[in-house]
Order: sequence, then structure tokens, then C-alpha cells
Amino acid sequence: MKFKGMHKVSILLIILLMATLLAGCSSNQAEQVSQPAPKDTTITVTDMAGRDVVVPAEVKSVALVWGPSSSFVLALGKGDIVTGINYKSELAVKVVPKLADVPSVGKGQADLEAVAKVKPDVFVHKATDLETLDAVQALGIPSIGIVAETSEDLIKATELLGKVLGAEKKATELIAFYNEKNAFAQNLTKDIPADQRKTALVMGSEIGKVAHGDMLQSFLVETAGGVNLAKDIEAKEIWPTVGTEQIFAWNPDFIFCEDYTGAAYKIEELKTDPSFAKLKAIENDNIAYIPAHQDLWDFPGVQSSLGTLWMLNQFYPEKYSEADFIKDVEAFYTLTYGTTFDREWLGY
Amino acid sequence: MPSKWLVLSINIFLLAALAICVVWSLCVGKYPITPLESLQILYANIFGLAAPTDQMAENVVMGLRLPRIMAAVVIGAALSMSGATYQGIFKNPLVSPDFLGVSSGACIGAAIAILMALSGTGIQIFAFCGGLLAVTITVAIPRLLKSDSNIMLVLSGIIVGGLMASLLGLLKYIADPETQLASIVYWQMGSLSYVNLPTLGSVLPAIIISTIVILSMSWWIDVISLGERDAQTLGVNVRWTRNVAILCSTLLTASAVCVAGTIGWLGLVIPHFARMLVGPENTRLLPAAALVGGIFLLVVDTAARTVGSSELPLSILTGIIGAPFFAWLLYRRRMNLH
Amino acid sequence: MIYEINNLGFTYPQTDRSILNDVSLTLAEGSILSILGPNGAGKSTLLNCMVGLLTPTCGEIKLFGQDLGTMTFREIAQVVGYVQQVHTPAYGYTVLHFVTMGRAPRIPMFGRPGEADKKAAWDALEVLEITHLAHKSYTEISGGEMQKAVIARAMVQEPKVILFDEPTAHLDSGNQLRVLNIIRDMAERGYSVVMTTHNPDHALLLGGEVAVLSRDGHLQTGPVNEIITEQLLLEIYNTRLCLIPVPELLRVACLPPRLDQGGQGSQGRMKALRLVKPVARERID
Repeated sequence: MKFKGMHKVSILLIILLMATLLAGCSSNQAEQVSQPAPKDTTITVTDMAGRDVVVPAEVKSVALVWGPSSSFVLALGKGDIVTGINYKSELAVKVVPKLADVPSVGKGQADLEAVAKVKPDVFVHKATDLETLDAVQALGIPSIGIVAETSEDLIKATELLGKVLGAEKKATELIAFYNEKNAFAQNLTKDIPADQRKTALVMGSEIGKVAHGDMLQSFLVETAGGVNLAKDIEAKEIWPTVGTEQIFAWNPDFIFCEDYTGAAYKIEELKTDPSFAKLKAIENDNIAYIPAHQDLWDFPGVQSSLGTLWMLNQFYPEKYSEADFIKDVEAFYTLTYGTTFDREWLGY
Repeated sequence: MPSKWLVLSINIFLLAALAICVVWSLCVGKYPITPLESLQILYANIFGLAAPTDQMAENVVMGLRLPRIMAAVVIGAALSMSGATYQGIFKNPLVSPDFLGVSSGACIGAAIAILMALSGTGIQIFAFCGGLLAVTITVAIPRLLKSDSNIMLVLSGIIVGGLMASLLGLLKYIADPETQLASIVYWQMGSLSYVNLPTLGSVLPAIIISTIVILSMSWWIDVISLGERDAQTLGVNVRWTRNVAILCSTLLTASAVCVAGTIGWLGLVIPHFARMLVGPENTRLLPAAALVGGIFLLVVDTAARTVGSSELPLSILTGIIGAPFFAWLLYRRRMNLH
Repeated sequence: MIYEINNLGFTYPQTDRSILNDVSLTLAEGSILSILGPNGAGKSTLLNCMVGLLTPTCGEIKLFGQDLGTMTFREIAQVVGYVQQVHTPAYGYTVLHFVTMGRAPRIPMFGRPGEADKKAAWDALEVLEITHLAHKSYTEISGGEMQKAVIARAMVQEPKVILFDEPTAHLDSGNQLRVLNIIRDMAERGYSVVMTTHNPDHALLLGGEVAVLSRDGHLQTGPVNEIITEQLLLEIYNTRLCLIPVPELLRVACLPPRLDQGGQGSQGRMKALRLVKPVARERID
């Protein structure tokens, strides 16, 4: 009987525990639905995940955990209202010094309590991570999802964030610059026959990982009048591995590498490696990291038009000189941040 | 062997410890709320009183901390009971949901459901089927080889676990990196960061039913743990009883995987620890293991969300604590492995 | 009749070697049966068939008139207790808990033992004089104590018949005799008892009926003193064993002759001689 009594007590306790938990569930669910009281004025936007989000008409603070989202907010001139950020580039801190003291609120995924602590008016994140967006939204913080993997998407994202952050004018200017430069590059190279176009590969963190046709890097190459040899690779993941042999077989005129600190190789090593010596790109010293070290030009964001222009200058210096290119870079930074940066420091 | 009063006091102590841990966990976090405020918010919500002034504080306590605490306790308890049940019916103290491949099988099932764009119940059903398939294969391999040794079952679990890991790699390879991959990786890592009440609520019925069935057959698990022949000559329908127990503990594991992904070591180590407290009899062990597991996962998860600037995946913490503890257990008990 | 076994045959599926061949046997209530036979003759196989752990290849087993094949383990366990050779289980349950598990065939599924079951277990511990072990871990007691615990577990099943598979194996001489006494005592308490053994002297000690399994799987049965002859022992064990009346003990003992000259060191031989001689001198023909 002692066992039986013991057992009954334990079962009772467990059921009691479960019941309390269930009660907690039901009492809490009602609370979840109610959103914070609408502020005096709000606007409703549809984000790039297709969600309708109510945001304050005047957004006074914004939190981010996804790297690419910060370049959009900074370019729109709203770096000063960022109250939570994961990745802070040196450029960002140089433009908005107070960012140095802004805390991190999560790495890729949101640390929900840390987000709640900084209480931003909006949270900007990648549209594909619905779990994070919904979890932050459930806290009563409007969360905006953006996509920036293609040039159309990054234009849309700039427009959307311009609207949300109250920087529509700046957004229009940035998009105009972006479209103008892309059109300029296309126009300049449109008469080059297909067989005379420069061929190129964009290589990722390992030798043999390349950018396929759906990636922004491929768009940069093609807009600059080049041919991305890996554009027809069928792959769902980004940076598919095609292998070193395939790169030898393609033998591109140019090899552009991601300026990625954790990369498994260094360009200097490839240049001295005898087995790579016969590659055209190596022979002609046409292998380089995509600039700029402080503001990645092949990353999602309006600065990627500079990536196109840089490639244009690499491919066809006779059509588009280095001096033209530097002028455009300075024009971009003057427009975006109202200042120019030392070339050496920026890293191009 | 502790007396019944000692066992009762241990259970009361564990329950008190759990209550203290729940309150403690409710009061700590990165969002600045005083413990008093937290408790006021909880009190106001339970008794339907006027909402406190700070809406965000209420969202944090009721929308973030409470669901997470409940999930940690329920899942810790479910995985520990699941582990104790597997150890009993396979009369093998070296098995656990992760060592039998059940966790990774459930993970595969969930991944397939994600690839098929299913959600909620679909993912749960697939996770359960995946876990069941994995444990079936794990049990079948020693049978095929006509080996009854504990080590063979563990080896078989390693084989199935390895196979499942490869399959999961394959699924990740064919998953859409933008939408599906992140979800699959999330399952695999083990985290409670985004747990919410609807998700937890959807697995709770399965967990409660399995728990009731397992607790009510706990004495029979003891009989089966004597070995198949002994149990049969004592009149037990071993196959039927064992299958029911496997179904229930697999359901527990799959439910846990659905909410929190795979969390390693818990299902192996907690039953051993509980056995040290209350002895090996499953009638005492299962409730104690559930309590200890609930406390353990709650403490680990609270640490994961409060320590450091970004959250640690749970499996990292449970592994750091669980693996050395298990080594110590092996040394201390000089467990008979054959 | 408890058991009626007719023309039983058993062949292990993997090998073609037949273990049991045309075995017929009846067991009346209250009787004692010792099953003798050389190693590998199928003594354990026969017991396993009798509790349904193995299904015979041919022939029939009737338990209280009912065909064993149609009975569930539970039905069998309510009338047959089976004391298998002891093995150490994975978990160290207390001896009391272990013995209480014998109540399994009398407890409904999903139930657990009640006060009456606990008392039955305690009574069995008292009968076997091992109440002092009740709260000790089963994995930490000696082989003889384990054997007693297993017997106690069979007793609390309240069966009509208890089958013992080599109950004296792996025990020292003292424990062997204690276990035989217990078995004898069980028979006096009204249980029918079946015991396999490879020691013919144990069959003589226990008395009752004996069944002898030959190497080819045939069985012959009858009262101990009629069946066991030196000729038969020579046949089954392939070696000479003597049946010698020992007046001091008021019984006939089965003893081996002195060891052969070959294979033993001279010192060992001398020792053997010294030990055997006095008995030989006082031998009464």
C-alpha cells in the first residue's frame, strides 16, 4: 500500500502541475491577442513577407539583428534611431558615432527579451524568417520583413523602409542613383558582342563555391557587361560547390572573391600556387576581392551599384576609367552620408 | 533503497524546488522587471485583475517567460520519462531517446513535413512516425544479429543515429535555403526561444495521455526489465506491453522535438540521477525523473536566455553538463554493461 | 493430471538436430519429478516447452486438460511457476520488490500490487528465511540468496506446479543441499515439483519420480529407485557411476569411482586415495 499511496500522490501532483500549466495557457491566450493601444497616428504597410503591419506614423527607434538590414537603415540616414543592432561595421560607427554604444539584441535570431528591453518602434528582419518576425510581433513590436537577394527586391526593400522610417525622399534619391548607375553600365556595354564579353566567376568562402544566376553577385557581373560562367548552375542553396576542376574547365577571365574573413583560402596563396598558374585570371592578375572592405559592395543594399561599377572598370577600363569610377564612388557616399571616405580606409 | 517516507520527502522537496525555480525563472531576464513586478503581473493575469501599467512588461512575463518556463518543464519531464521508460523496457541503462535514434528520427520526420509544407499537426504526426521508424530499426538490428547484449543495442542506436544524421543532411541539401532550411536547422539545434502557447498547447494532450499511460504501467515496466523470459513466465504479454510503452515514450520524445527540437543527454542522464535519489523502481522513478528533468531543463533554459549577450542552443548546455555527469556515473556505479 | 505430454518433439529451426524425440510424460498433482540427462540432451528445452516459452515442433502438451498452445502466458503463469537459472537483472530492485513481481499473473493489467500482494511476498520470504534480505538490492546478494529469492517469487504466484531449471547449478555444496531441502519442503506443502539436474545423486536425494532424457532426445520415466541403475547411468553419462547404499545416511548414494591413473599428478592421486579408502573399507555388499 505504501507504494500505491506514494504513486497516487505523485500522479496527483503531476496532473495538478499539468492542470496549472493548461490554466496558464488559457488565461494567457486572451492577453496575447490584444495589441498595444494604437498611438495617435499609425500607418499600415504590407511587408515583403506579405504581412500587413501597423507601424507608428513617426518611427523613433528601430532594432535589427540581421546584418544586411543595417545597411538599408544606415543608407536611409536613420542610423541615429537604431536602438538595437548586431553587426556594426566601422563605417557605420564612423557615420553614426553613437552606434558604438548600441547593444546587440540577438545574433541572426532575435533575443526576444533583449528586443523587449530596448522597446523599438519597429523591428526590421529578413522576410524568410517568419518565426522571428512573428515572435517579435507577438511582443507588440511591429516587425517588418524584407527581402534583398535581387536588385528588384532591394529596390522594393528600400522603398518600404523609406516609408516606414519616414525617409521616403532619401529612398527615392537612393533608388534613382542605383537605377541610373545600373542603366549606365548596361548602356555602356550593350554593344559588346557576346563572344567578346569578359567572363567571370564570383567565388565564396571556399575554392569551388561559386555564385549562381539567382544571386545578387551574378546580377552585378551581368550588369557590368560580363558573363557569369556559373549562372546556369541549378542549385537551391547559395554558394553551391562546383569544385576546382570545373573552375579550371571554365577558365574565366576574372575571378572575384568574397571579402570574407573566415574564407578557407587567400588570393595571395592562389597566385603562388603552381597548379593555378595557368588560369587566365591568375596569369593576367585578374583575381581580386570585391571591395570595399568597410562597406561590402556585393551585399544586399543600394551600395551594390558600386559593385557593378567596380566590375565595369575591371572588365572594360578603356570604356570606364578608374577616375570615372572614383568620381561615382564619391558621388554615392556624398549622396548617402553627406561625406566621402579615404580610398585606402574604405578599401577599394 | 530509500524508505517510502524518504521518497515522499524527496518528491516534496523536488516539487518545492520546481516551484522556486519557476518563480526565479519568471523574475530573471534581460528585460528589466523587478521580481515583485513579475509576480504582480502573474497574479493579475491569473485572477483577471486590472492590467498593470507597463504593457511591454506584461508581454514579456506572460508572452515570453511563462510559455518558455512551461515548455521547459513539460519537455524536460517528457524527455526524462521517455528515457526512463526506454531504459526499463530495453532493460538497458545505456539507452535514451537520442541514443536510440528516436530524436533524430523525429527530427527527420519534422524536416520531411516542413519540406512538404505541412505545419502544426502534420509536423507532429511526421515527427512521431519518424521517431517510431527509427526505434523500430534500432530494435530490429540486434534481433537480426541474434544478439541480446546491451552494447549491441547501443551500437545499433549509433548506426541508426548516423543514418538519420546523413538523411537530415540530405534533406537540408534539398531544402529551400530561404524558407525551409532555417526551420530545419532550428529543429536540429534545440531551442525554446520562440516557443509560444499554441505550439505547446498542441502537443500537451499527447504528452498528458502518454504520461498517464506510462505512469499506470510503471510497475509492469519493472517486470519487463527483468528480461523477456522472466516476464513471460510471470504471465506478461511482453510484446504488447513493450509496444505500448515504446509508443508512449516515442510520442513523448516526438512531442518534445516538435516544440524544442532535439535536446541531447537529458533523457539519458536524468533517469540515472533520479535512480540515485529514489531507487530503480519505476513506480517511484518515473515521477521523480519527471520532476528532476523539469527542473533541470528549466534551469538550463533560464541560463541559456539570461547568461551572455546571445542565446546558447540548449543541446550545447545539456551536453556540457550531461556528458561529464554520465562519465562520473559510469565510474561511480561501475555499471554492469553486459 | 497437471501435465499430460504426448509424443513431443522439438527441433531448433536453425539446426536440424532434434532435441526432443517422441517424449511422453504425465505429472500428477503432488508429485515430484526429477529430469536427468547429459549436457545438451534438452532438459531445459523440455521445461521451456512446458511453460510455453518454446513451441514444440510436434506432439501436444496439456495443462489441466487444456492445450498449452491455446493458453496465454498469464493463464499458464497462474498455475505454473518457473524457477529459471538465476541471472542478474539490469536494475537493483529490492528483494521484496523482486519477489512481489511474482504476483504479476494475479494483478490486472495497468494495476499494481496491493497490500495483500505485499503480504504474500513477505510470507514467502519468511518461508525461505530470507526476510533479512527484503530491503537489500537483488543485485548485491549471493548466488544462493538469489536462488531463494527466485523460488520465493515462484511461490507467490500460487501455482499448482513449480518447475526448477538446474536449481543447484553454480551453488556451493551447502547451498545445493539447502535448495534441495526447500524443493522437498515445497512438495510437502502441496506443490507439484519438476526439477532438472545433471547430478543423479540429487534425484536420489529428492526421491519421487525420475525422467531420463537420453542423448537422442528419448525419455523414460518411473520411480527413482527402479529407473536409476548403474547400467543406465553408464549409458547417459558415458562414464561409470556407482550406486552405493550408505547405512549411516539411510540412503543409496550415487558416487563416482576413484579417479583414473592417467591425467592426474601423483600428489593428486595420493590425495584421492586417502579420501576414498576409508569409505571403500567400510563398504557393505
